[in-house]
Amino acid sequence: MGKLTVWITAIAGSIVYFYLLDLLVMKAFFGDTLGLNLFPK
Amino acid sequence: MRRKKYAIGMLVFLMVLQLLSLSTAIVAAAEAPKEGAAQEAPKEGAAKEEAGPVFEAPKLKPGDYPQTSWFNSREAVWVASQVHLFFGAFVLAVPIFVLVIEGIGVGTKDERYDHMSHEIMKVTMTAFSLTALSGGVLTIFLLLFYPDFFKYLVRLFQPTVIIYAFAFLGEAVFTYTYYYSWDALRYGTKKWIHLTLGLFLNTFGLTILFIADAWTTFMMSPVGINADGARTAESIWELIHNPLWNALNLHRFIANLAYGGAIVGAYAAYKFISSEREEDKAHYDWMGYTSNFIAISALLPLPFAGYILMAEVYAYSQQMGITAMGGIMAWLFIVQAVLIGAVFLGANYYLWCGMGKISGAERYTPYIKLIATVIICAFLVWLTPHTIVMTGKEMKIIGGSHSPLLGPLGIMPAKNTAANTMILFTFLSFFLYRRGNKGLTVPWAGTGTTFMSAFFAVAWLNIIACGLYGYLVPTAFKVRSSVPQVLSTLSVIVVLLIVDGLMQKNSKSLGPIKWGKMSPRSQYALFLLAISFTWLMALMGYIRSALRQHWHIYTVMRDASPDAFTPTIGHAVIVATTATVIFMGLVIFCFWIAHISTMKQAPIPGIAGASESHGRKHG
Repeated sequence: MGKLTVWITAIAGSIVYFYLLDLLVMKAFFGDTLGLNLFPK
Repeated sequence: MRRKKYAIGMLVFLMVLQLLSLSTAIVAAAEAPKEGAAQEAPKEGAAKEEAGPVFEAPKLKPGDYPQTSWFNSREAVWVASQVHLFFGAFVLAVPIFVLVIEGIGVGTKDERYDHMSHEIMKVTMTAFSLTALSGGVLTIFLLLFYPDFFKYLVRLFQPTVIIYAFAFLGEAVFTYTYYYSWDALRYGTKKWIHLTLGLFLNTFGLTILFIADAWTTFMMSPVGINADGARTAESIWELIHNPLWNALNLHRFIANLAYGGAIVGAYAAYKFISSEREEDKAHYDWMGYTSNFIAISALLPLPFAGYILMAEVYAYSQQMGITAMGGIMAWLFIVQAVLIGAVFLGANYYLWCGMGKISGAERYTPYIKLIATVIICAFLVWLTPHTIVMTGKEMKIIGGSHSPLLGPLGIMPAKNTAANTMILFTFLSFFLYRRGNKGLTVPWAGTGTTFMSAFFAVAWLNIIACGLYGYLVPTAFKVRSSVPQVLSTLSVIVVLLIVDGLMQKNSKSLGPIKWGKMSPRSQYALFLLAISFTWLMALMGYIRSALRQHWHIYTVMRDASPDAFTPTIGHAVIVATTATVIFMGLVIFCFWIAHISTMKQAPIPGIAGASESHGRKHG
């Protein structure tokens, strides 16, 4: 695996991890009220 | 590897210890239904008689508070309780990590750990006596100046006061046994007996901490009593387990460890600077590093524990929360930010200086500038106030009470982002220090380093993104977006330690760590840590206590004394600083006592029996 591929894979994997982490936390706190509305007023 | 295995074992050991400490409370909880059943008896009056006579909180008048013309009674109690708390925090925390270090010594069969933990306990011995003395002074002051309130609280918490007294006795017995039996129980099976003594010592120590926390938090968030202060709770457990109890237990437990580490670090720095022999310098350099490591390890999760405590304060009473964070106390949080910034910068500086003695660490020197820049920027964000006290003219120039440029940095999303950034980059300093002289041999070293770099960078971006998200949504979302920030930081710490741990398998050393080859100025960073921690505790302890405002027991028992007002911040800082200076003076006394106990006078020729008795004693 080339150096660039390693970097892209590592960054993509990290983004997926933190995206799921954020989603999980926000879902746990706000449940169904969150829905797709990420910026509630 | 074995050392790590034993460290994990000791952590499990401490968790069991915590559970044991809670056993008294659990027993009390288990007894609760029995008491309740007794009260459900047909004759209610008889049941009440069994539970003891009902008493209410006394309605006090200014004349019920004896005064003295010598000093202000409130400030005397304030300083006495703060100094007692400093010593209490120190002597309860030190045996915890002394036990862990001793356990590591057993696991690694490295005598240095044993010597170091023994020496740390030696410093604690004088502090232990001073803890008891300052506790005595505090009790006398409370009896003298707040007799009715003291009597009421002691009566309300009677069973726990009795347990507290016995726990203190147990603490004394096991402290002295643990320390004085060190050499007698040094090897083999006897060492395990010694470790068990340490376990009992810590069990009593934590019991004392948790009971004292129950009294403190009950005054802030009372439950189990009615508006007149008469007990309605069926069991004492209800009073103990009040809304803020566990949050304060967690915060104080972690903070005590950080504090104990910082004070021992200052002792090591003092000994390092005053030592002349190379081997002594090497020993105290190593001791300073270990203490700093303990202090930093506890410091990293500490802001999260503080955050939980404040969240619980808000959950219990929004008014109390706003008084703390948005009202009169808010400016003390700015002072707190300055001191925490000093702590983080001091700790990082010590690590950067330490990298100079590690062969191979020069690879990472260029990163220090980057880390320092990020930490200083985060520090500046943390200490930016939301509003500034201004004259009319200044306000006119700025265009309002909020600076349009810096105002946005004064609110929580910015603070949370700054705090997590500081923690993240302090961890990076520690991480690079740890890697300093390691030459990696695993074939996937490059891939692993790339993965860790990407994970770190994305985590930081996620922290910043969550902070920015906080600006765009209502408060409830804003507060909760701090949770993924915390989890991002913790993820980095856990993942990087695991991956790096695997990468360091079969690693080769790039050269020795030259213990003792530290600049004297690095040692002043350790003094800075100890003083900053002490000052922080005094200031933040004042905030926590002052949240009750003019109440002895919040919303139940009013403080009618002439001193029942919130002092100006300047005055509060002077009192807190007085307590800090008194404590630091006494700590210097403890260091001096530990130092002179190692000195021996040469026998004087001509004095009959002098050389013989000297020989008998030390030979």
